[in-house]
Amino acid sequence: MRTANQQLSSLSHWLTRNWELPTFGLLALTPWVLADTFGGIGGPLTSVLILCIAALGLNVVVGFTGLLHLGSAAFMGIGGLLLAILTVPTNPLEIGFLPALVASVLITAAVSGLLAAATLRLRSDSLAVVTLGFGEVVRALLGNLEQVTGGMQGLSPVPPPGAGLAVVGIDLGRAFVIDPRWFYFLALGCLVALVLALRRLEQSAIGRDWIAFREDPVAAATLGISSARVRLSAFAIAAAITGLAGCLSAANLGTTGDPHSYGFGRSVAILCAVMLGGLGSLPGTLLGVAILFGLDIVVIPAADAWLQQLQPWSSAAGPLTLGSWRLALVGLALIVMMRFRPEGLLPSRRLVAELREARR
Amino acid sequence: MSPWRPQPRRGGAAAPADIPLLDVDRLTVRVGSTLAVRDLELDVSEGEGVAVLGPGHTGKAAMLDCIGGLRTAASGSVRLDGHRLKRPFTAVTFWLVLASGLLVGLLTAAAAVDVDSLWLAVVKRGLAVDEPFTPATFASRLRSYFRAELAIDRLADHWRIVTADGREVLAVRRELDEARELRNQLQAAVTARRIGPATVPDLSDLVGDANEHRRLLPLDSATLDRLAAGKRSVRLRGWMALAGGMALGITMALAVWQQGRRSPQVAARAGVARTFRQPRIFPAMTAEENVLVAAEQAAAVAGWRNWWSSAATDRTADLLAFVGLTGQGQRQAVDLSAAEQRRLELARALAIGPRLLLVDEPEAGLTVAEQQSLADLLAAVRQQGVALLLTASTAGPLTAICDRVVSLERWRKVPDDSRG
Repeated sequence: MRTANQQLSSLSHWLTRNWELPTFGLLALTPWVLADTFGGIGGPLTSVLILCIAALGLNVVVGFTGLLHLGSAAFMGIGGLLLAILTVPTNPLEIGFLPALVASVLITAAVSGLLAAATLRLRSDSLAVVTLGFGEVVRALLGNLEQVTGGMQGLSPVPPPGAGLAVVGIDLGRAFVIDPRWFYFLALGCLVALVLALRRLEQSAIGRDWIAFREDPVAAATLGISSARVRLSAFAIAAAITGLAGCLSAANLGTTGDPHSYGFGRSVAILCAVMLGGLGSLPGTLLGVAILFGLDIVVIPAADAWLQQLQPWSSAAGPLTLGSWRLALVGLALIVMMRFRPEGLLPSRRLVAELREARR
Repeated sequence: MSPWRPQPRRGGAAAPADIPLLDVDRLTVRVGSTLAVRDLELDVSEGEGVAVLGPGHTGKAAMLDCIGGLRTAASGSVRLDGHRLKRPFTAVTFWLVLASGLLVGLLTAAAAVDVDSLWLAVVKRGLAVDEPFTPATFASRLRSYFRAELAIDRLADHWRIVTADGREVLAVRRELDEARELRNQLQAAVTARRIGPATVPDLSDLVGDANEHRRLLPLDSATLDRLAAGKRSVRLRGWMALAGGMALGITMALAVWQQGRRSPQVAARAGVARTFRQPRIFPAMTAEENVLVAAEQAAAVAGWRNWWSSAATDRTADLLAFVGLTGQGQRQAVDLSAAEQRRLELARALAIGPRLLLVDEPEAGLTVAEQQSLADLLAAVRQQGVALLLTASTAGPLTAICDRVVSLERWRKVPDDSRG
């Protein structure tokens, strides 16, 4: 007869191994579970899913190859801008969503590959400074090249996916605009496909090269693992994923938006989410984003709306809101986490071993 | 007896018998400001075992680093089969260097011209004049943009301005900056016509006071060409930026290539493997993955098709059995004991299919019994025809398996070679 405690621990053990089906199943059911509030909450939830994709991209560089990258949001900006340039009706190109998506993702990967090629000889700490600077340059360009990027307002309107296409009598473009569930499922589908692909990649020869490079670049080099190949492939794949997130975000919002949302602050927020969840771990990354951004984008606004309805403590100082406290809460949570669980909430098996090695 | 065999290497015609496998000639290595190795001469022939014996800090590790490509020699040479271990300058290298130069050149050229107004005149102009966006119209708009830019430079002296489509000309009593600003406004106005068909802007809105400005007759393209021909500054700026950027890009690419010429990857692919004094395993990987990652490199060298075959996995299992780690494959490498880690590192080095194995102080941190079993293992490696170059600080079971023992003393080889 097993005790409840044993059952619980074996359940958590099973969950850490087979987390995909319960997690994504629950996410897929959300539009029906929260049917009455989904109209309001669907857009923010989609944004969180898109940020999950961006964080998975950053995880490829920071988690798998161990190189510190402080400009990941810039690649979201590049991806979104390229999609907008190719599809916005004020530009003459106006190609369809899917070819534009593929082209933007590929070009973003190429740009990132160039950045990696230019920084091949840099150590991780100098690389962090270079990526930071690159991110700020991109943000400044997005703001200043007004004819190309739309300046501070961003390029708009980015048409929704499948605009003008009708499938079995449904006008896809209209459906995406009217019903938030369409975009929610598009983002969720991309996320699931990406998680499965990254899981394969981690077990493949390229993935093992990345981990070996992270563990010991010198030993990896003596085995014939080319650091150039590792860096180029990791940067390109990471930027392709982050660029995909940028494209989805631009199509979701209908605009590339304020360039500041692709600046240093966003890059660091994504990095914090990855570290909170656990570097190099796919479920950890998703959990980190869900906690950090889910709190910020979904939970706190909803809680504030609820509080305002209640108005429990109406005072001269105005209504009580959680929103004004959220940065302090997030900062406190990060400090506590780094003190008591530096490997993250759901660390990868490999990282635990590495930290154990470091403590010896 | 053992299932493991060294991997046959692709290519590489058999070297003449009189050329040793490894030939170190007058090698001098500096570590920081100290001289680690001076004028070292060392030969290792195919399948031979050589032990380099010397007390600590005699530059043994620096010598191995230099042979393995981790460190650059101050002078002297290291040859494998009579060839220096350097990456050749191939056609691919040439095109890569040229492409990176061209790329940096184009980027600087783009930075030298005004990207924003270029975009407006070339990409967005079609919206104003309702012409399709094809490669032909793109090229013609690009030409007309540069012509208008040149004409503006010329006309700015005369306080005149030309729009990007080269049709409308007015004279303004303003400075160059203001003329450019007015030109941009005109272009924006032309673009705006598409938005609302009824709101065709009147140029007089922009011109303002009639006394100060005077409308001129439209210039035809022949006149523009004539004006443009007299002024070279924009064209010159663009070409100079292109040339300067290309020079910069090619220099940078060559510098990167030069630094990477003598890299450990080159040595590893030529068949030089090594282990370290302190075993440098990948702690976060399992023992099996540690070997597998190296076996995959060998598979990639032997041909890309092997990536999809199970050859690397089979080889890993064979190697783990060979070094006596059967059944330990799924353990985390960091959990293995010091002796096991050394064996694992050895298996990993063998996985790349080496012809020459460099072993740095293998006896460090091992008990006498463990040293003896490691010596037996290295002897078995030698049986497979792998040449062995190991360093040691004292003679022991490990130096006993070598054909020759060479003594180093304060970065210099002691002249007499004793047979071991």
